[in-house]
Amino acid sequence: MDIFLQQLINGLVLGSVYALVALGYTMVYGILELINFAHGEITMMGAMVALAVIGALALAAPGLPGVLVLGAGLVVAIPVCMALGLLIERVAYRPLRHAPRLAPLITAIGVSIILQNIAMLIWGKQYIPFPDVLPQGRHEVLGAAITDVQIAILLLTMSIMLMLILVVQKTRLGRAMRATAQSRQVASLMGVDVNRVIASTFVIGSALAAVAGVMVSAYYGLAHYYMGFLLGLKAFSAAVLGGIGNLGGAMLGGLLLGLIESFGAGYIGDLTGGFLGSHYQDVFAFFVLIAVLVFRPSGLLGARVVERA
Amino acid sequence: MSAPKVGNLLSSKLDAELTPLLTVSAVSKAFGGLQALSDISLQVHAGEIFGLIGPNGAGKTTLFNALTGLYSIDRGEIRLNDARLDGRPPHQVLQAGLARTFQNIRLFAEMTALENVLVGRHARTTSGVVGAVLRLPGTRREEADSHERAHALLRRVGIAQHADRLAKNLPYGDQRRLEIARALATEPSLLALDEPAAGMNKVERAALRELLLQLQADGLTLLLIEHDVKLVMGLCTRLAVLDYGVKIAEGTPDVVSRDPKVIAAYLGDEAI
Repeated sequence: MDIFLQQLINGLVLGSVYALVALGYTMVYGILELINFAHGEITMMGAMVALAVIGALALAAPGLPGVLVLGAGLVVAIPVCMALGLLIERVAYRPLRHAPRLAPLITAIGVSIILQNIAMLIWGKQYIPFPDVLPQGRHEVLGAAITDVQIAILLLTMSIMLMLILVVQKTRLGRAMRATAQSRQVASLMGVDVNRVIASTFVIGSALAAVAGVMVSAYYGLAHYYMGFLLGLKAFSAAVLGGIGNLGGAMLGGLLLGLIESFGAGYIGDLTGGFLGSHYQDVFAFFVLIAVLVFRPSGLLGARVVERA
Repeated sequence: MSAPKVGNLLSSKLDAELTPLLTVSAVSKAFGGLQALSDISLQVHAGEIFGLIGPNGAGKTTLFNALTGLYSIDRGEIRLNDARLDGRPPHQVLQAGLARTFQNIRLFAEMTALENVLVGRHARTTSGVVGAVLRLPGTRREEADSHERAHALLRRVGIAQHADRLAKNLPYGDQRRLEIARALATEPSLLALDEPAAGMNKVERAALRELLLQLQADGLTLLLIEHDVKLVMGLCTRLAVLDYGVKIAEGTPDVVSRDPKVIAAYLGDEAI
């Protein structure tokens, strides 16, 4: 029972981070039918920038409370990633708006390689440890442990997702985004500056990615210039799992993927008599993804068919 | 009433009729080898209902698309009041005061009727995400005002009961009304309607006619593409007739319906 509960907690925490990144993929896809493969790297950049700020602060003012230092990291990383998202859309995607669909896919991969290399040049190839500033509290819940960091991740990601839903459902920009997703042409004929809406979508997605990047590096205690690749791939899978283009789907897919991974890692050893260890968790996650897509090609909540990608 | 006053009324009415709102000057547009619009010139005066008729493929919708910024034009000039419209993207054309509806209904199908109209408010509102998230008073006021206007417009076109239904679930005639409400929400000075009566039954047509006359009475100028000749002849102050991308006639319904070129091109086949 305690192992089950423990894996449930771990899975939800991990899944909420996946969900946050998956939302960025799904929002851009919903509006442009474009898969922004550089999104994982934006997450990585968020982590790297935040770590640089947190590291510098920890050195300069060692007495500061952890929450404040973490907050400072976020406050710098979020606008940096927003600007990055804006720049990428403007430079790599907008000029190709009317090009064949393969073209922006190639530039997306190009941008992600460029970002990885920039990060490597700035921060080096080695793993960067998360500075020792975070509260280390652990709480016992029915025989399982939940840390302060996990609680913070859950609270932060859940409130951000709630806010996003409200923005999309209830605000002027959200309506313009949904209108643009349904028909770019009609939205522009009704007075919506479509380019602006698309740019806003990238900016919002990038802000979410920044938060996710900081959270994931705080959770694992490290960051690395290549961390965006697997994280991005998994979050993209989560978006596809839930039904790409669908916000609720991205959240559901993210949480499910986190849970699958966590339970897979927890039980795969027992299930295979010790033949496969917990480091097969990635394989497990992708196996489930394939299985779901065989039976529901448009994802769990997907209404629209992923026809061209 | 004394004579001078009647004279004043008359002259002010004439002035109003002669104020050009939309001026299309020598507009041409070709698609490859097909000359879709050749040298089209026309003026729509403030306060009138101007009809655009012609056989299928005459270039009516092409002209609408050129007016609203969807197509770039090869030659010519389009002005609304004094603002140049050609060469500007659709959202700026709308901002300038020209809104439209579509021949094949093009609502935001997955949004409610109310939300469709609220999207129409986009160009006339300014509030951003930050204001919405922080629930700033200015944003809340603007949002409340938009909702109020949107509900009023739904009532105006007679579909208030559908406010919270998805647009795709509305009956056909009501979808056409919703398109008009959405266009009105943009506060246009000129409303361009592309076959608003298409597919409507007799009762719906009569209601539409009433609505359009009301809009005119409220000071809106209408540009109307319509196949229903009875509707057009009864409603429009003036007409232009297109055939193969060329304007072959212009004038009051009486004059146009007697024009031999028009009879040959259009009325000859369809009016009877």
